[in-house]
Amino acid sequence: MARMKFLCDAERCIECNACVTACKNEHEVPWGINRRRVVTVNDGQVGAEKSISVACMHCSDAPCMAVCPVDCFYKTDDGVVLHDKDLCIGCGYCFYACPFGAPQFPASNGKTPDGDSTDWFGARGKMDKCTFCAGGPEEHGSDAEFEKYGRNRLSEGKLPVCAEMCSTKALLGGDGDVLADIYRERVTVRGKGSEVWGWGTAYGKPDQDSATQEQ
Amino acid sequence: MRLIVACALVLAAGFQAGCGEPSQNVQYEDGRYAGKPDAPAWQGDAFNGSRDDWENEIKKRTKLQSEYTRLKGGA
Repeated sequence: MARMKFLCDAERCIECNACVTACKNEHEVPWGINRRRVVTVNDGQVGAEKSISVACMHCSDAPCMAVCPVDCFYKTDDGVVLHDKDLCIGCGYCFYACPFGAPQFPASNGKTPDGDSTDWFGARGKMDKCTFCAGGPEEHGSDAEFEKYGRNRLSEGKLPVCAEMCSTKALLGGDGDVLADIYRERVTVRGKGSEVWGWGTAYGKPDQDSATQEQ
Repeated sequence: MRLIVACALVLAAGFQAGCGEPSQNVQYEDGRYAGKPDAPAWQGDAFNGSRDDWENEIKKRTKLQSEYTRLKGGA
């Protein structure tokens, strides 16, 4: 049985935000809502700047599931954490519980029967988050599923679009065991210590180049 | 005298109770999903309920994320 996970390789992420854009485009996520975002630390510091793409990490012991007062979360057989938007009350507990800030709260866009907006004082809508491109509790591929949760790529045998779109393959998605094998191979090839990142790894060792030129 | 002794006993019992250490660990009760049921990913049209086919396809695509695997000629 697959255990779906994301893995972001901070040595490869170039902060291009293609994952963010791909996600928004694929699921037609509303303006102002990002199911995925790129976080950069040590911005501008040469050699120390690192970026990582973050979304719902589909935790094995998900805190959002633990705190939800209406129990609208569930976990699929493949370890994907999903929720039922028909049940969600938009309370925001999951946002406080999530260590990754994954839950998002779009404006409710609610309307009263006479057509007036119910978005008074920026009322929070139902929670929205990364679904691992697995849709939600609606018929696979249906309009209702797309409208509420976005596309269901997993039922089409595809992986999350953010991972499949990643140009440097910094962001990986899929069965955790396979991802671990991929990452292990990368680390083995890279070496260790100062060889792992920096100018030398990207463009070759300056000392070797000059030695070659002198010869 | 009896009243004083009784009061002292009650007070002593009260102090004893105040010094007790009852367990303060919260007993969490796991919630159960209360929403609509969702069909597994392999129940869609693409795989017609074949879990093995779906898992093989997902595993293949996952492996293809490694350029080392692709260079070797596939998953």
